[in-house]
Amino acid sequence: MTIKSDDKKKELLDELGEGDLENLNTVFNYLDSYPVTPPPTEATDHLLALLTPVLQENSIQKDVQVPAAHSVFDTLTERLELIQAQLRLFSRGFVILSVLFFLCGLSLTTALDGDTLRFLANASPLLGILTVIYQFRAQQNHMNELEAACPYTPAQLASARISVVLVYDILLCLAATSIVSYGEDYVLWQVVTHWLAPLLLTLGIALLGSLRFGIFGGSLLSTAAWAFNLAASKDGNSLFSFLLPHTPVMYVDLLGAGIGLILLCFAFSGLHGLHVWEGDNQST
Amino acid sequence: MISDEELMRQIKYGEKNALDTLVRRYHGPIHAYIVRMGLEYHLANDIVQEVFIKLIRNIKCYETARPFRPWLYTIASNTYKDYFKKAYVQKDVPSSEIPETTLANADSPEGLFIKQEGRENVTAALQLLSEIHREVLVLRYYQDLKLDEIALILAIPLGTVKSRLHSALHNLKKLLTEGAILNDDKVG
Repeated sequence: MTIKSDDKKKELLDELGEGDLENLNTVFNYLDSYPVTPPPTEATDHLLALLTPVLQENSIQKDVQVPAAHSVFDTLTERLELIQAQLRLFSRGFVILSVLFFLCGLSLTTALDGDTLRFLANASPLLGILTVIYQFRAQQNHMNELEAACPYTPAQLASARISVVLVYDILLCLAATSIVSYGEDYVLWQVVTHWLAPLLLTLGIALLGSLRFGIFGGSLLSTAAWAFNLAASKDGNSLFSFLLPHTPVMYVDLLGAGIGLILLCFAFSGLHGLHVWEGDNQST
Repeated sequence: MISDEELMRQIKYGEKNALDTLVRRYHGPIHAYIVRMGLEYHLANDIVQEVFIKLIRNIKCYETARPFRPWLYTIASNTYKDYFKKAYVQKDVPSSEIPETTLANADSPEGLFIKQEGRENVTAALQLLSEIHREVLVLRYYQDLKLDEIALILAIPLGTVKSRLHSALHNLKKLLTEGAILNDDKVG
C-alpha cells in the first residue's frame, strides 16, 4: 500500500533470480505512484454492522466459552459436510442413465450369450470411469468456487469424491449382482470380487494418473487400460488370468482388487501435501 | 498481536470482537486489491462486502490449522472474477475510473498533478497487462503476499507464479518506457 523500501524490492528481485534493481527501478517507481485511499472508518463500521447478523447465523455455537482446540468431532463433521457437498454434484439424470446402461447391458447380454458375469466385470470399470469424470467435472472445468471458500486439500477432495464414486458404483453393481445371481448357484462374494477387482483397478489407475495428467488424463489412461484388457483378455477373463494361466479366477480377482487398492493408496499418499492437482493447472 | 488464524477460530464460535479486529485489519487491503484489479472505487465496496459475507458464511469449513491470508484472497479473487463474468454477460463492464478521493494527498498543486498523472499511467499500464499477470503483480507487490501464498490463492505451481511475475514486471517496463500505454492492446 505504501512506497516499498529498497530491501523489499531487492527481496522480490531475488525471488525471481534477478539481481539488478536498477533495471526495474522505473517500474517500481511507477508502481509506488499508485496509492489507493483506504475506505473510511464509517465504511468499516457499516460493514461490521452488516456482518454481525450473518455471524450469528453461521457461527458454530453461541454464548459459550471458546474451546481450546479444534476437536476430532469438528474434523469429522467437516469431512462429512464435504462428502455431503460432493454428493450434491450427482444429478438425477446421471443416476437414471447409469441404471439404464446396466439394465440394457444385462438384458442384451442375457439375450445374446447369457454371460452376465462377464458383462458385470467389463461394465463395472467403465461405470467407474464415467462416475469419476462426472464427479470430478468441477475440477476439470476449473470451477473451484466451493473449494475456494472451503480450503480443502486435493487429498481431502479426492477422498470425498472417490468415496462417493465407490459407494455409488458398488451399490449399483450390488443391485446388478442380485439380478445376475437370481436363481443361480453363484458364490456371492466371488461374484462381487469379480467386478470389484476391475473397478478398484480402474479407479486406482485414474487417480494415480491424475497426479500427473489431471483427472481427465487419468481417466483417459484408465479407459485405455480397460480397453486394452478387453481386447487382450480371452473368454471374458481379465488380463491377469492371461498372465497367470494356472491360477484360479478367485485368486486372480483378489490380486486385481489388491493391486487396485495399492494404486489408490499410492495416489492418496501422492496427493497428501499437494496444494495443486498437477494436471489441472492453468497455463502461464 | 493475535494471529489471523486465532481470530478466525474465535469468529467460528461467534466472537464479535474477533470479527471486529479481523475486518478492521483486512477491509483496507482487500478493498485496495479489488480496486487495483480494475474495479471502480465505490463498486469495490460492494465486492468487499460480498467477500466478507462469503467468509462468514463459510466459516464452518475453515480449518484453523491452515493459513488465513491465502484463503481470504482466494475468496476475494473469485468474487471479483464472478462479478466481471456476470457484468460481461449483462454487457455492463464498468470502467476502471477511480474517483478523485482515491488520490493520495499531495503537498502542492504541482505535486498533485505529478501524482495524478503517475497514477493514471500506472492504472492504464496495469489494465493493459493481461489479468493473470496483473493479479500476480498486485498480490506480490501491493498486497505483500509471499510467492507460495499466491500459488495457493491462484491454485498454480510456484514456478508459474514466478514466471508470471517476471513477465508482468518486464511487460510493464516495456509499456511504461516505450509509451505503449497509449495503445489499447493487451500485453502478455
